[in-house]
Amino acid sequence: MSFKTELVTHIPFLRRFARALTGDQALADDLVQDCIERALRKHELYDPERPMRAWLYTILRNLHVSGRRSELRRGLSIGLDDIPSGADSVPPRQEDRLALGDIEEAVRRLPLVQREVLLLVVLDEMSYRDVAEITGVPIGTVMSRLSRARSFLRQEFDGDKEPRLRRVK
Amino acid sequence: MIKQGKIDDWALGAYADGELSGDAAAEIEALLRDDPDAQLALAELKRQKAALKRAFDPVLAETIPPPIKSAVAGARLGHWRQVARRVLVIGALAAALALVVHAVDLRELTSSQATSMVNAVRSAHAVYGSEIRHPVEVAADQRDHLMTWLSKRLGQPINAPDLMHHGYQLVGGRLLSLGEKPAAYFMYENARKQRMSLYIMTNPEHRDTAFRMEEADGIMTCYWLDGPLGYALAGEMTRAEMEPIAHAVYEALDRT
Repeated sequence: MSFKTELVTHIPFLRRFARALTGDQALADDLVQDCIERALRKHELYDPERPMRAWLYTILRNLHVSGRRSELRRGLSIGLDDIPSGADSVPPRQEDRLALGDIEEAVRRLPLVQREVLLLVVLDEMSYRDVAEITGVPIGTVMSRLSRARSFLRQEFDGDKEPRLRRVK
Repeated sequence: MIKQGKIDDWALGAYADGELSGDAAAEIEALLRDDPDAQLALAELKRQKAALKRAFDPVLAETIPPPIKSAVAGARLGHWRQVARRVLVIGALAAALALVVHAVDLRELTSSQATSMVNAVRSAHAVYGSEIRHPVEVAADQRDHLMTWLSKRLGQPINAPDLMHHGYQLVGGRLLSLGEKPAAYFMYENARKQRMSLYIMTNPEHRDTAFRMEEADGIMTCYWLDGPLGYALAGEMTRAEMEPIAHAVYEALDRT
C-alpha cells in the first residue's frame, strides 16, 4: 500500500482524535488538514516499522500543542502542564452551566495533557508505549495522567445512560 | 501495582486497557472476584469508555471534508511541498504588497516586505537547490507539455523564457499548489551546475511593481509583480549577473 493510500485510511481516526481533543469541528478539521499536509511534506521521515497512525497522531498532537502555546503565550511564559483545563478549547464554563452528565463537556474540562492521554488510550485503544512516544513522556507519566483523567471523569461525569444532576458539594 | 491484596487505580486501568501480560491479568482477575469496590471501579472504566465511544465514534462515519481530501490529492511528496509553502509565503506577501500599492500607489516594495520576501525566496532556493534526485517534475525535454500544462493550470499563458544567452538552460518545471491556487516553478542550471529558480504565481490584485533585488549569503533574489502574475528569481550570482537575466525574464514573460 502506498504512503498516500495508507494515509487516507487514517483520516477518519485523525478527525475523531482532533474533534475530541479540541471539542470544535472546524478547529479539528483545520488541525487534521495541517497534519496531513505536514505528513506528506515530511513523508521521508516516516519509519515504516512504526505504526503510521502513531506517527500521524504525533504530528497532529504537536501541531495542536504548539498552536495552543503560541496562542497562550501572549507575553507570559506558560508551561504545558500549567495550561488550565479547558483553556485550549473553550472558556471554562460557569459551574452552574456545566452540562450535566455530558462526557464531551467533561473531556473538555480536562487539562490538555490528561485529555490527550485519555483519548489515545481509551478512544483509540493505543498502547501505553505508543502514547508515551506520541506525547513524549515516560510510560509512568502516561499512567499517572491517565489515572488522574479517569478520576476526574468519575467525579464530573456519571457514565449511566441517564444524565443526572452533578453532586453539589 | 497490587498492595495488600488491593488493586490500585493504575493496575486496574492497565488491566482494562489490555496492558497486562497473561499472568498479571490473571492475578487481577483473581483479586477482582473478592473485591466489589474494584468491580465497581472496573465497571466505571468501561462506562467511561462506552460514553467516549458514543460521543466521538460518529465522527468516523462522517464524510471527509473536501479541503482535507484535496490536501491529500493535491500533494506532491517530498521537498516540493516545502518549496510550495515558501512560494505561498511569497504569494501572500505579494498580495499584501498589491494592497499597499493599491492604497498608496507605491511602485516599490517597502523595506520590511522586501525583507520578508527575500527570506522566503532564499529559503526556498536553499531547499530545492540541494535536490539531486528529483529536481523537477517535468523535464525540459517535454517542454511543450510543461508549458501547456502550467498555462492551463494558472489560467495564464506561461512560458519559461530562453535564458541560454545568459548561460542558463532550463532543467524543467513543476506545478506547485498554493493553497487553492496553482503556481509554476522553473529550474535553470548553468554549465557549472549552479541553479537558478523562477517562480510564477498569480497576482489577483493586478498591480505592478518595480524590480527589487536583494543579496544575502551569496544568494541573489529579484522579484516583481506584473499584471496578472508575480515573479521571483533566486540564484547564487551577483547583482550584475542577475539583472540582465531578470530583464530577459521580464521581457519574455511580459510580452506573451
